[in-house]
Amino acid sequence: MSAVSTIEWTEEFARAVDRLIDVSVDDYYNPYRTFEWPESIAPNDLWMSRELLSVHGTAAEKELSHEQLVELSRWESVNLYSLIAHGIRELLIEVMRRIHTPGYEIPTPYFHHFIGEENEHMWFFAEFCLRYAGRIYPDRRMVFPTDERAPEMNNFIVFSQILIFEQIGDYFNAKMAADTDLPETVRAVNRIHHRDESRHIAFGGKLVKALFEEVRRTHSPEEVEEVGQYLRGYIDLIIQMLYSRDAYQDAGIPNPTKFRAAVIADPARAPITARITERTNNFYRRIGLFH
Amino acid sequence: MQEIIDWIRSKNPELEGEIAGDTDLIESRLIASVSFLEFIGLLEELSGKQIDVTSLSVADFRTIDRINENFLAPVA
Repeated sequence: MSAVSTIEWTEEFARAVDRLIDVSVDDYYNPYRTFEWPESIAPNDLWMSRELLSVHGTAAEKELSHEQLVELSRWESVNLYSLIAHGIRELLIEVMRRIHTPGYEIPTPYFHHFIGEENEHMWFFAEFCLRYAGRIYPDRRMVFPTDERAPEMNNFIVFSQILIFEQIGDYFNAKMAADTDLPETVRAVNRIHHRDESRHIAFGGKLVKALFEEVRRTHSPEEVEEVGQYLRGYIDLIIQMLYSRDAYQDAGIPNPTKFRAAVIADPARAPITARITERTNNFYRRIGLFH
Repeated sequence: MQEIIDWIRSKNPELEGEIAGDTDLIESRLIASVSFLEFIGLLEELSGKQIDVTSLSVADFRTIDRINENFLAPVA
């Protein structure tokens, strides 16, 4: 599909690809033997760190009992892992479209590791949901045909979306891996994902930076500004997906649609959202897209 | 129905003129994929029913008339 033969991969990028491949090979593990998968996970413990719950800090949180928070933590963790599983499927489709195509000769060797690792992540997050909750929440996004743009812009957007999604997911994974109050199985899936994602995010950052240079060379400042707005909208979309009507409903919260609207609009959430998106916003400021 | 038009206007403050029942909301980018989730939330609130996005396509949301027919007509 995308004609990208004009992308100028730097020596630094090529060396980074080599280094990341070495680490991927050294860190390789069999995911199907890595996890213990106990029969059940402590039903009376939080499955997601309290400060990561979508209600944290809000007026609505104060209305919930400890039992309701525990129930909500179970379904919000299922929502997070479902989002990760769906996100991985979409990103794998995009990377598959580009591997071994003209222009991608330099990153292609790492794409093989990326695809393999992401497939395994999708497996263990889906496995967690299906084993302990009996379901994966459906993907509620829809891709519109008008999202298609010039090839170099499309490449930048696609890999930006992958990076944004991974950075926001990693905020949750890193905190849950380190939270000693969470059940060990919960910590383990988050720990393994966080470890692998640190490589993917490092790679994604370098790739997106190179693709952005290409966009800046070939597009007007107005078009660059417009794509910046589009990606801000995408960040907002990912944040909105963390507030799951399905999770509120499964946690037994009455009128989940209204509850969701109230929680999203609660002013206590703005500084929390700023923390969740800080790394992403800093990255795009650094490369010159956000101001 | 007015709620939908108000929402579209809130997302497109530069928009002038009327939004007709057959205006293509997708091609004209009045509804974008990044605001779609919020739009679905609005439709669910208005209809009082959960919407299964996986069984739908972009065509189901293309115009105000189609949206009304697909999601709101029974309660309108």
